Amino acid sequence: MRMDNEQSASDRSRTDRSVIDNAFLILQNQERRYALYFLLEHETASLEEVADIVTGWPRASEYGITGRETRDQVLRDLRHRHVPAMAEAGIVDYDEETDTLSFAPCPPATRSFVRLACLAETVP
Amino acid sequence: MTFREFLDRFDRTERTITIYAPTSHPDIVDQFETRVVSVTHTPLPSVARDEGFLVIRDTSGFVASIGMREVREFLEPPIYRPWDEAFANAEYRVLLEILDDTVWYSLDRRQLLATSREIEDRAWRVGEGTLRVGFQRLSLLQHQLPIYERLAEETNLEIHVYGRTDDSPPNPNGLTIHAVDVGDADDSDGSDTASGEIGEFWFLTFDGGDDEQQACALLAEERDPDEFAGFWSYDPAVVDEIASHVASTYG
Repeated sequence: MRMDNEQSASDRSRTDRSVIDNAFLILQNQERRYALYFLLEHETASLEEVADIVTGWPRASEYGITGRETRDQVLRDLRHRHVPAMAEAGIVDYDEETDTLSFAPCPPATRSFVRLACLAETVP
Repeated sequence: MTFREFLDRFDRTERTITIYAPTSHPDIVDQFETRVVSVTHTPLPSVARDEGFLVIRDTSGFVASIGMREVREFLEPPIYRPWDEAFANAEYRVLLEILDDTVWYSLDRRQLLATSREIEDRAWRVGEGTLRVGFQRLSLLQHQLPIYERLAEETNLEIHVYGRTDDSPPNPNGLTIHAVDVGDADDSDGSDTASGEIGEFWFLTFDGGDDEQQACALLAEERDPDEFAGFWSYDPAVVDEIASHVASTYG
């Protein structure tokens, strides 16, 4: 009760612990992180394009070209593991009909974590 | 089939290039835009601190992705000699393979020289087969003589060099020189196979020797001074078509 009063006094609400737990659970995987980095900018994207991003972006600073096989594996991982996990955690919505991913349900705190992770993980 | 008809055949690219980067790279977009049909920039979030990457797609989707650093290297390739070790590992060679059979515009001599070196390097490594090289003017061979003398001396390649006759063409051992005068070509099939194309096109064909997987060709037309439109190919059938045209027309 006392805590609630303090929060309203500072005009902040405590983020639900499950939101934080879910955010860190999801963000511990690099492919999921890069998918979310892209959604920071675009909100909604086709899963096909997200797979292209998750293939190309983490490897951008490596010296090499990434081909179709790697990308198809990334798409399979996203479709069967990561997207269901992120949807389950309440961070993205997946629309089966259009095969698109959207960032809409993502709680504000989780967005902040995603933004910080993006800043920390991408190197000039 | 003339050189121009080959060029026209590949003048419809089905590949698109998307640059994913926090900020636009107008220099890179420009360079691709003048060279291939479709290039777009899709932003990454501005908190991202890296330069981004590029995705090449064809009609069935993703073909390849590559970091911006190598894209720059591709657009301004270092010029190696065929036997340089660094050359074997240069990643932009893989990009060349991904972007073959597509007509590129505004290619300059440097880009063409790098692509030519890729073909000469394959010929050097295979060490046998037929290499056909077209210089716009035979005297231009002079600049490449150290490369071609070494190719002739140290491999079993059959090397044919074509070019318009002009002052003081070199005539080194081991190379078959075909000096082409305007009006010299065999036009008996009635087609528009004017020998003028020799002076306007830069070409190389290598048949791969025993291994047609190593076959490669470059064909480029100088449309403005030091500005070429052309394509390269790793398709053995295409390479053979160009080489056959050259052999049957110019010997």
